[in-house]
Amino acid sequence: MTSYIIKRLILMIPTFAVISLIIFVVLNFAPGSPAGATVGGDGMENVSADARESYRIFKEQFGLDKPVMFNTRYALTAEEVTAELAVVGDFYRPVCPAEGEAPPNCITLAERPTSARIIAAQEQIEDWGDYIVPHLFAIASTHERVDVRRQAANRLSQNAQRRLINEYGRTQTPEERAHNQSVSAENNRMRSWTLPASAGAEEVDQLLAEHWGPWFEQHGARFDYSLGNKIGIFFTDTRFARYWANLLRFDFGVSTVDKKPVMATIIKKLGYTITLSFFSLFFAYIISVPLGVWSAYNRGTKTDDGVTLTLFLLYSLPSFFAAVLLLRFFAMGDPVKWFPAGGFVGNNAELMSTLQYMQSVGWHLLLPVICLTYGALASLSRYARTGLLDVIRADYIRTARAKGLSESMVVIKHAVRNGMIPILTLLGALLPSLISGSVVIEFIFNIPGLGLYLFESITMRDYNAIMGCLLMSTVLTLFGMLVSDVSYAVVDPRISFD
Amino acid sequence: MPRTFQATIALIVTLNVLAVLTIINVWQTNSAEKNVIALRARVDQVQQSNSQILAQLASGVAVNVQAGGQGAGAGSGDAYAAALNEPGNLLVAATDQLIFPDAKQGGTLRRIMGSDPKGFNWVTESSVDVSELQGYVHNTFARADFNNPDAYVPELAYKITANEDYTEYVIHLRKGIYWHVPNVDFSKGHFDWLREPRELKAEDAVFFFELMKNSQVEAGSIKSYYDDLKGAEVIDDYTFRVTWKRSVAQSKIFTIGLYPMPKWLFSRDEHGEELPAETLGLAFNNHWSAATPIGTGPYKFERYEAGVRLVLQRNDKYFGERPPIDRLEYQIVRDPETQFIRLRANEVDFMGNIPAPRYKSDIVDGTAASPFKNGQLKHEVIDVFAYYYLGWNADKPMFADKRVRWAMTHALNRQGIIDNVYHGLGEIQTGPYYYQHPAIDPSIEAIPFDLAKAAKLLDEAGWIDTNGDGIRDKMIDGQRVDFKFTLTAYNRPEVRSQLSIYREDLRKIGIMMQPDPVEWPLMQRRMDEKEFDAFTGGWGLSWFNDPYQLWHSSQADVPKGSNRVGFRNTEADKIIEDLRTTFDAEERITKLRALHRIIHADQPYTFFYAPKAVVAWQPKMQNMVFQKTRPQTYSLPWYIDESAAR
Repeated sequence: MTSYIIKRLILMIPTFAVISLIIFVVLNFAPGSPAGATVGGDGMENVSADARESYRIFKEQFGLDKPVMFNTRYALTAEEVTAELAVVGDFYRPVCPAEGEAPPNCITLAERPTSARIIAAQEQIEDWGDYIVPHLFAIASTHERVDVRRQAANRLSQNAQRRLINEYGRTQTPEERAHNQSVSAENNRMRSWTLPASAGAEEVDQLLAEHWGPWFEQHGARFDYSLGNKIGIFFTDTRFARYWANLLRFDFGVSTVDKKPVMATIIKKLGYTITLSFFSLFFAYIISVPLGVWSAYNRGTKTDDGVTLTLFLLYSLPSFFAAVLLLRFFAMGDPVKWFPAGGFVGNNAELMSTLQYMQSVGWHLLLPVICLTYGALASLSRYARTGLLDVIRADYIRTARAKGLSESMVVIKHAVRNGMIPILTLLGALLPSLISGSVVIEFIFNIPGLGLYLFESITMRDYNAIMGCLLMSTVLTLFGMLVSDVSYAVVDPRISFD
Repeated sequence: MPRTFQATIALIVTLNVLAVLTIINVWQTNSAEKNVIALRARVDQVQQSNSQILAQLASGVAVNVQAGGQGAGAGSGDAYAAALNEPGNLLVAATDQLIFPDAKQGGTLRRIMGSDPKGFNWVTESSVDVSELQGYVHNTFARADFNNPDAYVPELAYKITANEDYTEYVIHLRKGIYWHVPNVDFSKGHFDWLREPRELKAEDAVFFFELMKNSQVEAGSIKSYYDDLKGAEVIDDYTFRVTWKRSVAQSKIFTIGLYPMPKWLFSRDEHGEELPAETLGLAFNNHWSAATPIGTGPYKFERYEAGVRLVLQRNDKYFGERPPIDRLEYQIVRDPETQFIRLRANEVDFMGNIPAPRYKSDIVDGTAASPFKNGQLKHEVIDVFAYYYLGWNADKPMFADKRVRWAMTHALNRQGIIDNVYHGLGEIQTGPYYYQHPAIDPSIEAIPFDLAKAAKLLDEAGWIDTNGDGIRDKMIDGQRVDFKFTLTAYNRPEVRSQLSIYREDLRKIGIMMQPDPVEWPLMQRRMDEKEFDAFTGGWGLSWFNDPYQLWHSSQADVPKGSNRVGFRNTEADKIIEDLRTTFDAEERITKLRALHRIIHADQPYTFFYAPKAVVAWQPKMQNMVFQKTRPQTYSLPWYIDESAAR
């Protein structure tokens, strides 16, 4: 048994890695991106200028400018870079008028890149970062179109900037500090090496001769990648590598929405959700198992049919509907106000004694627990009923009766113990649901739990938060499956893993 | 009885006994715990008053100013009032009497917030709920007068002067204004350096402008407005100068209508150590103190429990007139229906937006039993400072002709939709400003709902049903094109029903419109990439109008620009550029009206309606005044009279 458990535990590691890889890839390739402008439920925007620079800073902090899995940017060719730069250049050329004299460098409406194309091109050049610096320098020096040369020169002042070290960490070592100082001084200098939109070929030449030429001579070697460098970049300078490097240190990252560590938020919310789910599961079992046993024992009678019908009626009543009704009738004060209208605990929780706190939580959770419980009753009691029916006709039950045991003894000791094996193992499978929570119930009863958090994180594309929640439930699912497998062996001596 | 069964029974009995014992134990410790809690509360109280006394002793100035300012409004009775009459001062005395003289003091105002704020860094967060909080916690140098939003009245500054072309501003701050003490956990010793209240200095004001110029600060779109800023410099502790590269009209609002940032806080880490200057901007974006934001305003930030509530506490050292209400408690409730249940259950005192179906059933069609009719709740309909519109993509041949766009407006039954879909909660919009703003040209009448006229205009524009299939068509570039288009719409139930009405009316005049309700991220992408025929949109408004981003032709060619419909009009461009350098209020109105006329004649949008909101409150709330401009539900003048409770 022990060796079986250890084997399973070891197998969990690659399983977890594969699952996390799949989630990560699906998440990063899904449409939409974090920090897209949000809009309230009323569909109203505020007039605002493009937040381009802020978005770039944001992307850098969360590594969103990196490729997802593999980085081949060291192998970019000058043609690829030129193509994107030309799109940007074309966009700023005047459109040829239908009649009259056309300006010298005009572009026809049909050739003009679409808005989608220009947005993609700008983003692409920005994301390529310093991998394209040598190409930019070459294009700025030699390309035949002046506007493309100007674009390339201006991009240099952004793309050639170097990243600081330990820039978000709290304390920096003196060496780091010294490095950051020199890098930031260089970056600041570079930022001013730009050209106005009206600049001609001479001005581009002048800027290159004055600033970029000497700079490139000095720093050009940085961009000659050795094979080792390339392999390193290919695997490590990516979003996935970055995420996993942090994960190995149990760092789940900070939320892109509120910039707070994701794990701290998840653990805080976990408390609410686990309490809610635990009690609903607990009551579901407490009620449905005896009910199932009872109805199996009275199989085929009118009352059994009645119970079955009632349970299925409850099962088909949607919980969100019941939740609103319960609130409407028992929390609004019309007709009665017996319960608070949502929330997890009353005001001033820090001033409550343990007992008061428990009372308050119980008071707040009663309605949501009812909503979560009644739907599960039907299926759980069906399991219990079928489980018992399977064994009640078995030979050993007849034997037990034959040797003169009382009827209750037969049912409780011999039938129920054997008949409840499936329902016990079901518990293991239900373990992950403890933390997944119920979005709808949490929404209506205003319980700040994990289900709601995951849902909102998905709408905001908060990658780190989504990953954190899903990995958490992955771990629980894996353990839940192990527990349910082991529990088979524990309760049923006929099953053995050795 | 078999042994195993006996063992099971024994186990169950033991467990039960243990459970009972635990409960008894909790019960017993409970009373002891209660005493501890009461004691702790008392100790906290003593500590609080102690620190208050200490703070007052340490800052004798603050006590003096407080005594001097007692009962007098900011900038009215005190020494700074005289400065308002000095020549060149841009500020004028306030005309809005914010606080009722006989207001009852104290109490907690419980209100609602619809979602969690993303964070409390006043510079990097710009969402509506955070700016509302900022209005309570912090002060601007000068604020717009609620009665006359074109006039600026003193807040932190008592005097602001500018040179002739508004490129240089000199701002004089009041003395003796203190920053709140951040509400951090002082039991952690390393926060001790924060205990001492600090005075607002000119360097804090200048710090804001430095942040705007810092290439590492992630401040959304605000930064773009400071592209023309040259710099800011400290003159002395209470005076500073702001210079702009060019003369631009919005420089005024972006110089004096903003919030200073505490430099002594944001340039340091948690232990009070100076942050390295090279990474200051990045540290600022993720600064630890944003969890407990501070300001100089009438309320202090007290507590935030994610997903539950946010509490503000009155600042007893506030330099201006103190509001009557002690505490503001925002309960975070997402579901509008649950929000309303909380209001009915008397768990909140004020609700800023009653769901429209509730307005219909409980107020419009309310019977005598309705809480709004039997005196349990009160309500008022207020303007939301915004408008909705339909945007036509003028770059598509279909909507390039302005007669077609006029026809589309004629075909939209605006009043009918407002009355039937929105239960009358709206006002027909005719132009790009707030419908009661003086810049709205009064001579312009709303285009009436008239299908016959719409059909006639379409005929004139060449859209005629030639093949008898019931849909108008036209030869475009040698091809016969049917008048069919897709209307990209923000996915809300009301929008879907309003569009089905519009679709039916368009069908009557031979146009096939296909509504396409989508979620916001997709909608925004389509608008950024200009992949649409037409769309539904809404703009929040501000009193100061700078039409550049929405209506200047250059913005139609900027990637992700706001002129999505491709409105290009040389006459309008001229006016818009002039407006950017026009400072005189009268002249601005004339020009804005001229722009309104051009936009009306061209119909790049079908202006739809200005929405209204229904606010409701418990009858114990008194002096419920609402402002015309944002934030409309600014609670400073309100007070609570418990004797009026239901």
